Amino acid sequence: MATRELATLPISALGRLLATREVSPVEVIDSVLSRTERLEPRLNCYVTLLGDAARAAARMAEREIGAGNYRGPLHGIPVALKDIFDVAGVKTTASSKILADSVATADSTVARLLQDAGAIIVGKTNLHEFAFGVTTNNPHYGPTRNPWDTTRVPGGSSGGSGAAVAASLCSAATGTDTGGSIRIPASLCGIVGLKPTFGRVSKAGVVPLSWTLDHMGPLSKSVEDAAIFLQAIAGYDAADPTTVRRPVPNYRQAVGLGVRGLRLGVPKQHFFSGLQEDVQRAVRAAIDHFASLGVAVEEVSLPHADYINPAFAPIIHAEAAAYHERWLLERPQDYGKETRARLEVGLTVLGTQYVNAQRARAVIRGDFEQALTQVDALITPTIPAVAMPIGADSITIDGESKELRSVYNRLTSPVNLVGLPAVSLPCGFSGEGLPIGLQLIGGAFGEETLITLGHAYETTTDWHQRQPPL
Amino acid sequence: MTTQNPQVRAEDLPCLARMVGLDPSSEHFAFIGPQILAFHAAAARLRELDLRGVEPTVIYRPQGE
Repeated sequence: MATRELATLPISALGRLLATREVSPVEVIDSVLSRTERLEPRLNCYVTLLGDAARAAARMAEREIGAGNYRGPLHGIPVALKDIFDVAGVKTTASSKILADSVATADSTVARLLQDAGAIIVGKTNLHEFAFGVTTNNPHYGPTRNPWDTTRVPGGSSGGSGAAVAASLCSAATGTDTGGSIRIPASLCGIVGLKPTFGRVSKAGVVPLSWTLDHMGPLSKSVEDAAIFLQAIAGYDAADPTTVRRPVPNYRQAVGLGVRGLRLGVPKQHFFSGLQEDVQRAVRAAIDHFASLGVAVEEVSLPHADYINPAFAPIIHAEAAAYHERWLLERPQDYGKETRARLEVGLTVLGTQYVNAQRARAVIRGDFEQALTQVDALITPTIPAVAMPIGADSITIDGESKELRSVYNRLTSPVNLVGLPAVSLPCGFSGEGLPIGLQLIGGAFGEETLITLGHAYETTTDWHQRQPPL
Repeated sequence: MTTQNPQVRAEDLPCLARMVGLDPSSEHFAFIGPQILAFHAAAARLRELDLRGVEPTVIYRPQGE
């Protein structure tokens, strides 16, 4: 098998080849590192590459598998971590100047679990500074570029992870998602991004942005790969008190289950207004496709949707400002202008605004829970628009110019507010050849339903199999 | 004494800035001032909600936990 082909395979296929020793982890890592050497100068996905350590880990995995000690479907698989996940002995910069020289003394829980499963970490990916933004146009480490059009953003904040997976510079990667930062790059880069239920995956050892909105999850080439990845990182962690003591199901068993008779809800409010035409058309076609698979589709109501942003904004601003306050006062010049401004806005949030936002959050969550008593999952676009040129800070939709950030996270941030699981998967391309994503939102700890629905869509379409023109 | 419609206005910004450790005379503050006003205008919309009896909760707990 040619070297390049190995790098571009999904985990589900690579894992089979590794388990049967048809290929060696060393061949897989060599393939990925060779491709990275060729494409990284054009894409700028990584802050830190760990090629030597990855080769050493691959040789060890080769010995283990050869000795009959195969650990499972991630054994020997090359993965990348967003550069806010600690890996012992490696810098965690958060793509910032503030933490440029900060070396982790221990692994984050997610990094440890991935390595326990046999995954090989090939690098730490670039992100929007401190994960507080949606473009990964980073003032300190340079912009990450979208593999589908390198003049455009990959989205953010996990943009390096999204671009690296789309370009096959790793098989899958971690992201964090506070207002959409897994799902936005997944949508813009034409891959899958899964944000689990709040409490399902540990946040220990990850630089926080907003403690009550942050979620950890995978970006991957397919829904099945996301299920494999989630299996490795999900579960209770004493080091993160927000994780829950709830058994972790076998997510891969949800792959391939039938969808006939499942019910999808289309929100009447908020999610289908202000969309680019290509996005509207692609997602409506996807809804029709689900119906053709025997999924019942009906409208659902989210009556307090107008209050999503008024509730979301005080929470993310106040929590982020609380974490950054000391640096903001002592080293403000070390932040990029945009991130510094957003954090300083957070310094002005009143206590009552913050608490009432958390109370409003409970009301909005009640709307989602009510809707999800009628249906098994909701379906929406992931983002109202496709990837914009690097440097653009506004976008015109329906003749109205809007701030890019507020457009990009408008359909994803509600799900952070309510803590429910959501997955973004490819559902089409714009007239310019740019990926479009759809979002499925499930009930609390309903990741299996999303995996079943998402996989059914993937196996009857080919959007996720298309490769960027690199 | 209270006002009917409390809001952060442009003339309040210098005082607000000093309270949180920002320099209201800086060029940078001229950049963030409009963002602060926009934020507070959006957050003020929460007053339209009837939140009586609603407590803040953020974490899903399995039944019986």
